[in-house]
Amino acid sequence: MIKGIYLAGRSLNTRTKNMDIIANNLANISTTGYKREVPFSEILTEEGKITIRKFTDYKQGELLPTSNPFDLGVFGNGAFVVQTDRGEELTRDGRFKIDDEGSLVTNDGNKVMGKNGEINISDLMLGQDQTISVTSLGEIKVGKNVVDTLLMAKLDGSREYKRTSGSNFTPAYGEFDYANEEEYQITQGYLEESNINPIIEMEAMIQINHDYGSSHKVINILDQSLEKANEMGRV
Amino acid sequence: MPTRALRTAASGMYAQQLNIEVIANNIANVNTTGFKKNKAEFQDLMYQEVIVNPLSSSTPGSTDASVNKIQIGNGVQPSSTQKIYRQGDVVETRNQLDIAIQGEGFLQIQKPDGSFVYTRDGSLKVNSEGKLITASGYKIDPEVSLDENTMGVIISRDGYIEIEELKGDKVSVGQVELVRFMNPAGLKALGDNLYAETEASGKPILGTAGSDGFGEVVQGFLEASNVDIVEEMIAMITAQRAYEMNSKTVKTVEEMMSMANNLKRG
Repeated sequence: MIKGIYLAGRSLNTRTKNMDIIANNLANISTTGYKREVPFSEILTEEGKITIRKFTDYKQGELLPTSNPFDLGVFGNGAFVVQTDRGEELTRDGRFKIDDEGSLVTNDGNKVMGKNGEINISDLMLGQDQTISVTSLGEIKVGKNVVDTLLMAKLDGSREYKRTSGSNFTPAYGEFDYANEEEYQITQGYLEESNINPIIEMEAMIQINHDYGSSHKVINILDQSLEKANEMGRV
Repeated sequence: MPTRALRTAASGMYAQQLNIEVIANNIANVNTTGFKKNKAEFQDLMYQEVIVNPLSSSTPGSTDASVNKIQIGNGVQPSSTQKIYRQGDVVETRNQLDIAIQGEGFLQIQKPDGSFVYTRDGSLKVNSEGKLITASGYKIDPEVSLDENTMGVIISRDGYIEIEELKGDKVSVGQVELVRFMNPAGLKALGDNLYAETEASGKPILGTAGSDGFGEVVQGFLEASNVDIVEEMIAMITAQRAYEMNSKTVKTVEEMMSMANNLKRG
């Protein structure tokens, strides 16, 4: 019986943490390139052991036009590779800009990687014909000059990734895989919205709230029974 | 106490409030000449690793040796506001000193301290010295002076300015130069319809109206604000609902906390 109280207590704990995840999803409803976190659950591993896993939903977010040439949206499984002070990381947030050295950087100032390393367009910036174009495979052109091709990595549910700050992902184990050309399409002048569906989040929130309530009832009832057990010993 | 979800929801509400402020500013500037709409941008906060034990494991509060860690996010933060440099509608004013730029170009303005700023607002005026100034009172660069005999001004599509004198002669007095940026979204908005270059916008590229990409100058017209009211209204509805959903998180967590509080009877 005491074990039952512990189990119900553990359930309350778990629901609280899952509520944190829903709260984070709803807070990031307007975040560019945000991928939904699925509340964690217990699963059986291949060896039959119980373990806890949390999944990220890599479903495509909507691409919204911004008409800014440095906004790149990805359709498919690709992700941009960026150089941070923690090493190379992946992101779906395509809000890029040019820094004072002429390098292509993300919104937080991390360098965007091309197939030949960092992408620097300072040599081409003084020319007259300065239209920037990015093809669907990520080839960057300034006027008619090809600068580099964006390095794209694979980001989907087939592997486990860890989140770092600012919409960045890094593989939980080992190195990331490069994406094949047919797996992604880059669209210039578009940004990927967050893939949160508010209805699903609200539904999950209701579910968690009710589960919490049920566990709460279980504890109360067990408590009442324990009280009765105590009374039995009264002389 | 489980206050993380509360703080996360608060960050979401704060972000949506800021979103509404940006939308309010867009709507307030629906009639501002040459205004370019803003868009609020957000990014998620850091993730924290939290230990979770399986439901069937040891007592609550203690941590299991075979720890299962999951990452839980801490909410959202506003990262920047971005200007959308979409062309605004060109509206006829029949004022000969009004010019609209159809294309990417900006007018270059020299401030009294010698620094350069840029604008899309082409409602030009003449100051007491006969120089062409913008609505904010600064001279356009290169300077153009009109003399006292001026009867009319003709500005061609490629920016050449001619004046008609009393006797009917036409005299060329200069040319409007336009400036273009590689990444106009990186420009800093100074208010008063003025923009300044930043490291993100790239260096200004000087050119003439009518040449590639710079756009043409249209006399007698002004560029209206590029704010689309319907679009802003939809953005406002979305922001309001998102705010409400975050407040629902607060309410749910509050209910859960109250249940936790009621666990102990008597």
